Amino acid sequence: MTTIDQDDQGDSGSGSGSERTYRVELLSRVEGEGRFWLRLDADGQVAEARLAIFEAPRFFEALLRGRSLDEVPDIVARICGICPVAYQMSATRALERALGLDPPTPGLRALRRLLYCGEWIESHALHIFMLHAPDFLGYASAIEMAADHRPLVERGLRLKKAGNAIVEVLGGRAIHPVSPRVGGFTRTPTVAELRALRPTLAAALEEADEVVDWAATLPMPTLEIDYVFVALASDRYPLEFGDELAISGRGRIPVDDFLEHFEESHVPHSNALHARLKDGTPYLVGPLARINHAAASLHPRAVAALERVGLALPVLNPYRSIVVRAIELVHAFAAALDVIDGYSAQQEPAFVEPPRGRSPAGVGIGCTEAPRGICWHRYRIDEDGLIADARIIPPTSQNQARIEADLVDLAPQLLLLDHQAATHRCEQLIRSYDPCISCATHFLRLEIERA
Amino acid sequence: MSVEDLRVRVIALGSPHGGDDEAALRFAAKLAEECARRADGADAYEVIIAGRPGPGLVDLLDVTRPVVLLDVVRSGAPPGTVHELPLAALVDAALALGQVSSHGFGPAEALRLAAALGRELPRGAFVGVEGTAFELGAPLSPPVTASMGRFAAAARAAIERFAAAEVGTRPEHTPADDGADDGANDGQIEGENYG
Repeated sequence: MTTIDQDDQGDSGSGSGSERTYRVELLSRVEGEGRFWLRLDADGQVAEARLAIFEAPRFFEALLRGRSLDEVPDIVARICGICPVAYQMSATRALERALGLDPPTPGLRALRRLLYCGEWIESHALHIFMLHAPDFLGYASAIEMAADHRPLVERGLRLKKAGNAIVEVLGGRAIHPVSPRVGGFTRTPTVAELRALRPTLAAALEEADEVVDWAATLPMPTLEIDYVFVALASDRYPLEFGDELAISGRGRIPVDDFLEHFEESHVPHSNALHARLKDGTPYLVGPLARINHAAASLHPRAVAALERVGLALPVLNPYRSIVVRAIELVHAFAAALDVIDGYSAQQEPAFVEPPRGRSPAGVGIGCTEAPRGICWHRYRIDEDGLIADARIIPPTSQNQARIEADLVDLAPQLLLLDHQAATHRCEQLIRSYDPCISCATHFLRLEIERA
Repeated sequence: MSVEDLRVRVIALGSPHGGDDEAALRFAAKLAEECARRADGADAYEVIIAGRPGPGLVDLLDVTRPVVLLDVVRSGAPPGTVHELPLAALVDAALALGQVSSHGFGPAEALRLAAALGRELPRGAFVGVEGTAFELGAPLSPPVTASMGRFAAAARAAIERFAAAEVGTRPEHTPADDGADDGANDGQIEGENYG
């Protein structure tokens, strides 16, 4: 349930001549805790648009200092309960580059892609069915939606479970995988273990195709935004590997040069850093950025789904991200099946030892595509081989400035809606980005009657 | 022929590095270590350190075996209070007021979703400890630290009760020293160092 707070100062329903404020103090159905407010003046002009994120401060960056490289994948996996693999993959890639283990062998890269597909499936299925679908179908939550759309919710759980199965087999356990290491995996699956996943994933792929068809029929609010999209650029659809970033209208840059083109800054209303291009332009990362930069690299099965529903590129309507996530679900299932079909446990070693006898001191940068967009890591390693400095720029902090700008773009439409509908429209827009505001607490709140 | 798994499923929720939010995970890590140390593998329970499983909790609860769910609670009771409820009573007790979970789909939502989908909760118990400090990087608060022994004892009692009911005999198990209520237990779990 979301607490909707009508602003004390504004007469929310009285039409022209009054200030309006749309505010939600505690956003529901986003991954984390945040609130937003949008204030329009008496003329309907935006006076203030703010998204406040109670993001975990850069606690983990401090925690990493002085740690050995082997500890890093386990520590960064704890940053987020939804996308631990993304943090592990960016971290291992950065550290391997610092150690001269780059690029990973094709076999290792394929296994990492498979693990990452598992996480994308988990995350996208959660967002499509549990967090975003209720907005389109007019329910306050997936729980209410389940009463009328039980098969839909069951499908979401089933697809998410298929993603869990991949992560569990490859990562050692379904939550916070333990097998990824700098250099590879502590243990790789047997051929039989991976093949055993095949029937589940093949059935899920069929279902994912139907999810695309369903998502494409959802009523979409009208909104088109001239985004600067930023996504990993590689020889495949952006996911587990890439040395460059594609930026709309600005070509490609090496991931190593990220800090020369982007900057993070503190804003008073949020404890998450805002990222922008150096010239102040907000930008978008995530599914829309990926598909608009790299649709041609989608798995043929996902391309077929895109063409079947007639999704026009570039996709500029943020609400339509639910369709794009569905297409990426197809991509993830199909790509996972390809890895499984091509897997031979004897092909290559599962683990590459870092070279010995030379100083590990140096800097390593790695960037991969979390479900919500690029996750950029930079580590400095000291002479003793310990982490001297860590910097992690997660996707949601990169999208935060863009979300605020989108609220401004949405403002004219809101004047035509009643207060509650307008507030909901803002929430639906914010949820389109699937913001993942990592936070440490999740406590269960109870009301206990005592005799 | 496969042998039916009769073990009690112990599911621990929480977040490492989250102050008191780590309490159930710490105890579960100790339980899991005890399992790993048993040479005969004849454990009466399995331990799933689920963390923040979101709607995945619905699947973890989708078993015919008994479940003991461990978590940290905010109910307004004094910090360190140990709560125990039948699992079936948890749906009504768990409040979905505002965003109670750091992730959009927390345990309360998962339990309600299971109910909405007509899935029956398994037999079992919920054992929680009232938390008070959830700052990232904070240690367990003194009241929660002091109550870890009682929390562990309540959890072990629940596990043994359901294990005994399942197999018809009491399992051989000697509860380890989980600490007392005198504050001597600092809540540290061997092999688990979250810094």
